[in-house]
Amino acid sequence: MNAASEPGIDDGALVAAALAGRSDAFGTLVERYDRAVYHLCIRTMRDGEEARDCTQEAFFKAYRSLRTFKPGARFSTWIFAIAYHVCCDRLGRRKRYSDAELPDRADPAPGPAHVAERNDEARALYEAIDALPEKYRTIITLYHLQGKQYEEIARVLDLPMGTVKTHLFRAKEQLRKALVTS
Amino acid sequence: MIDDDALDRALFALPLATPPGDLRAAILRATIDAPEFAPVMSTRDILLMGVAAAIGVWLLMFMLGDHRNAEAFARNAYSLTQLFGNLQTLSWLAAGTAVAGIVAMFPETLDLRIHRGRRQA
Repeated sequence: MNAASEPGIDDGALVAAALAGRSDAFGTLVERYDRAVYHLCIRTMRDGEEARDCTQEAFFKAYRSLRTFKPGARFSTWIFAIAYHVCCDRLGRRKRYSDAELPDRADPAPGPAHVAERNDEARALYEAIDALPEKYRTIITLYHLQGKQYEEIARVLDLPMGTVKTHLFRAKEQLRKALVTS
Repeated sequence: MIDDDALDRALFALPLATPPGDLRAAILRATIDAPEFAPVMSTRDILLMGVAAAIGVWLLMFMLGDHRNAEAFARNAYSLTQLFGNLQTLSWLAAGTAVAGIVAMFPETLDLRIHRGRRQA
């Protein structure tokens, strides 16, 4: 095992190593975050193919602009912000097409992998999250990924902290209502 | 009604979506494993071409700006061609270039050392 792939090394050191020419360090960052980034993308896009493309594009952009990563910042926040913006761009493009031109793929049937990993409770919760408006869906997903770190969520979404808290409160309220009725 | 803590617990217990099996490989292929192409031109070449293009554009605008400019430019260009078309000028240039070449290729022919003994004498 090389030094860069050791689990103890923090993300900042891996970014520094990648910038110094250690490509395996960026590989370790991909290993650490590809699942979380894909999760954010699939919850935002609600489409497996597009989520895959967004994840790939997010890592590609991150790799190309690694020099702009500020030392001391959190890599997870940075990569989530990139992924979120990639998703927003695609959603914007999607909205420009009429329904006739683009089939509605917003609520695809879950694939076998998804079915296997979800128990009933999780499925009900995921269905409730998927039914939320986009801004609430993303904020709930980031809350799930980042925990109660409102500042990091605000950075990803480029929103004031107060707005994040308000959106989160409303999203949770809608989730609770949806779960009670289901 | 589900309370906030219960909802938080349920949210944090949610499993992450499983990405397609080949996603990681595709990311690595597009990033660290992507072949690096050498640039067709070096930065210095691009810079030189940019400077040449800028001078060319400036010269064109200078000449098109006023017919007297164009005439002055043509006159000067003619004088320069006359100068460099002169056999005597070319002979001197050739001689100078030859000397510079010899000195550059055989620096030992140029003895620039200080001879202390001779100065003492």
